[in-house]
Amino acid sequence: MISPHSRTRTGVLPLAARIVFIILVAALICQAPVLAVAYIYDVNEHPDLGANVQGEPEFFPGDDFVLTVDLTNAARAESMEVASLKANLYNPTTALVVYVIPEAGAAPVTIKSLPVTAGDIGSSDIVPVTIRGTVSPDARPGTSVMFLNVSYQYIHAMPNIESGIPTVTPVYEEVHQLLPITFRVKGQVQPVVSGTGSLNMVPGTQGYLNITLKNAGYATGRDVAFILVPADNTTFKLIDASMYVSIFRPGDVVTIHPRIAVSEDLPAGFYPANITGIYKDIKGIYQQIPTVPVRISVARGAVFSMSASNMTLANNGKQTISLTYTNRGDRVAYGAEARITGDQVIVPETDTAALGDVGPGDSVTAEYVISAEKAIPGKQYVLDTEVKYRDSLGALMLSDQYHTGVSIEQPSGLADALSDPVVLIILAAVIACAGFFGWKHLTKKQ
Amino acid sequence: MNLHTRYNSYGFLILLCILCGFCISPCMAVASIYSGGPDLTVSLESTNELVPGTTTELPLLIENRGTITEEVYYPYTLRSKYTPTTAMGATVQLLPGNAPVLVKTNPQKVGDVAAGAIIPASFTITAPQGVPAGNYTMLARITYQYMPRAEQETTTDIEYYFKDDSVTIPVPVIVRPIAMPTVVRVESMGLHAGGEGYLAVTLNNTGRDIGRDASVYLVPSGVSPLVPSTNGIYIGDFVPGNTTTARFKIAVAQDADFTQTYPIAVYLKYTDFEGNIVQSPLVNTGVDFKQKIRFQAGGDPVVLHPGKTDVVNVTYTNVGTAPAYNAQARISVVDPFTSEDDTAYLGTILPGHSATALFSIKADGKTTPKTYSVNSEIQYTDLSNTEYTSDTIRVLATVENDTTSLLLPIGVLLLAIAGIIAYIAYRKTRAV
Repeated sequence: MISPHSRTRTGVLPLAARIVFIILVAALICQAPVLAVAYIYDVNEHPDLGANVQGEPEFFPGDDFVLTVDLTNAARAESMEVASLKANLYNPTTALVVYVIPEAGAAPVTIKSLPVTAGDIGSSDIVPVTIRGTVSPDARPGTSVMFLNVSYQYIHAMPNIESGIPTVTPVYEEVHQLLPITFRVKGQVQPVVSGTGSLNMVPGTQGYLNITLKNAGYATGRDVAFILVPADNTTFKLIDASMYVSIFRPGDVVTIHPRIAVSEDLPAGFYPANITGIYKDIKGIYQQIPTVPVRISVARGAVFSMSASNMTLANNGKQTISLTYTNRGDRVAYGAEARITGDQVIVPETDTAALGDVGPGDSVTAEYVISAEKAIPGKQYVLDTEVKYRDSLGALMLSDQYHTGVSIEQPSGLADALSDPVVLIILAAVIACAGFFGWKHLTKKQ
Repeated sequence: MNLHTRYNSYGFLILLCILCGFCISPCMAVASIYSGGPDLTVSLESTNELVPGTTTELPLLIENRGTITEEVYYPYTLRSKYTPTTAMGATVQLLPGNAPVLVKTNPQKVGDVAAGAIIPASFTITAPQGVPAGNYTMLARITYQYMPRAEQETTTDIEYYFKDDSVTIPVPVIVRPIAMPTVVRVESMGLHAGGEGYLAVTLNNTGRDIGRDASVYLVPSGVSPLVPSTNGIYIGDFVPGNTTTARFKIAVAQDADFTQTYPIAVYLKYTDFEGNIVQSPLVNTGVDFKQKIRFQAGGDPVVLHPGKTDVVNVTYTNVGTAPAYNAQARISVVDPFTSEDDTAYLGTILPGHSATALFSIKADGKTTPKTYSVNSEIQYTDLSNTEYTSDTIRVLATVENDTTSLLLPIGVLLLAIAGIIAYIAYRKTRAV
């Protein structure tokens, strides 16, 4: 809806010639500069846009990039007529409402920027435009070209329709132009994991990871140092985490063997880590190896459980007990030897037993002779046992300590009764009385 | 100078001024400008990717592409204050459109947008967790005024006509595909205050990206009584729609309150579809655990006798909520007590069950008869054979004088008296 919205009153009618004179002279002075800078341009001119990338447009495969491209207008108005009538609104060398669509073309990139507006770009103006994108991880090294699809308008012609009243009708020319942007994809050493394995990676000891890496990149790395970095460096202590490779060509395969100490209380499973490192490129400049996620595989190791039998013995007696050790882990316990520990009451007479190599799921029974001295009848005493063995790297390992109970027989029947001193006194009194009356009875008969 | 001459001078001056006015007037002559009005467009200064679970600044650029189609220079007309291509007093509002996002920023006033000008306006957008990835269209609504027409009514007055207008411009956005963990289940396995156990976190990938070489990380929130033995578990490739369980071993502090649920957060770290190692948004969940395993020594106080070694029975009851495996009780005696048999095996004590320990305790002969407190504790293991020691358990011991200690001498005395009587009777019988 169109409605009168405001009213502007400009100027005042002269009341006297003196005043008019002064005003007009002042107006003349004020208008003079305007008269000096008004031009009519040659309409044969047109904008001349170009694109220049700021900085060094070099990227590695997989990089996210931010390119700042300067849009320049190299056009010059080579001839112009000093205007006495028309304003200088219409410069044909100005690119009007420039619209930029970044296009990947055949370049190995994914453009993430949307089309962007750059406004009017006048002669000699520089307007920066930011282009964001990602270089393909498998991009080959070399020079690539992407494009800025630039569209704009400019004043192509200004025919005068002068039928008494000067009229300017600008004729706009729509221009679509592809401006090339060159950038370079640099070759890179790109290790990928082609195989993993482990040796003796069990809790409480040291083991090795075997990680086979292939150079899937297009660059040759020299003096390459691979470093394993666990996500949790409290659980995993790296004894030997790095490996040197003198040359790592595209397609080359190397296996690294980092040595790692695993925390004792770590459950079996897979744990995250990364492989990183540096290498020297063809120019002798050190470059960072892209991070490669790997897993650290931890096994259970040899884990024993124990069951016991014949665990009841008489007070002050001896007993041969049987303890059965089962390897419930997933690694062999080499040269296993079991030992029991008693105390001042339960005394082992033989306290060690050789179990030999105990494979996963295997059970071995060991017999020990124990005796009880000054034990409390009916009580259960503690008997501790543990297994000493060697892991697959020959390191001496000690199992958890296991506990079992040894029961002391409760005397029953006559033995139980005779252990009570009151019963003994009463019994003695009964015997004494019986003897006395028996003797008296015999003497009466005689 | 006479009056006539004076008026002639004034006339000349006036004529001169009017001539000057004619000379100047071409520059003052104001064009009537014709155009289609403002032509507003919107573009984005950054990428249009939104990551679920994050808040992003979306910098818009508002450009006016309006152009003048004709300009007429009428002599003796006034210069217009406004250009018809200018969008005046523009306000930009960003609407979600069909995008499942929240626009946090209110409409912004960006003022006048002249033809060819670019005005920035930034909006804060939140893409909630779990929004499906895909292409969406948000809407930028720009309201403004422009002057389509101005009329010069007199040589001094211009009347402007303004028109309210608005334009709604689509703003395409992309919700980036990510691997999004959603907690399906959290299961505490053998977790109790003061102990270690496992926390099994079952996750579903409700995102649209395959999390390659994914690892699940556990982060206790703030200062927490939950301490994971390791906070990362490798789970491999995590395909959208799949469910996986990561099992973390964690310890719970002794003084943790079992009536509370403690917060933890989990997140994924994985290689995304572009080969970048990225991290998913944090997902919060809660962890429950059981009460600490506690024991009570029940029954009457044990009775000891000065100068004598007594075998005492102490009954321990598991008043916690988890079994105590391989439990063994130990009693700690101090002067005036000594013990040479202070440890007893109790075996497995289930919650609510009891076991009796026998100890041998000797009270010094000068011990004052009264009730004493003796400390004891229980060592036990959990299912994974991790050893724990209970809090100190007090056992009451009453020292009493021994009445049964006179029984034996009295008995012997009685036997001796009986023997003497028997002997006297025998002598009398022989004498007769």
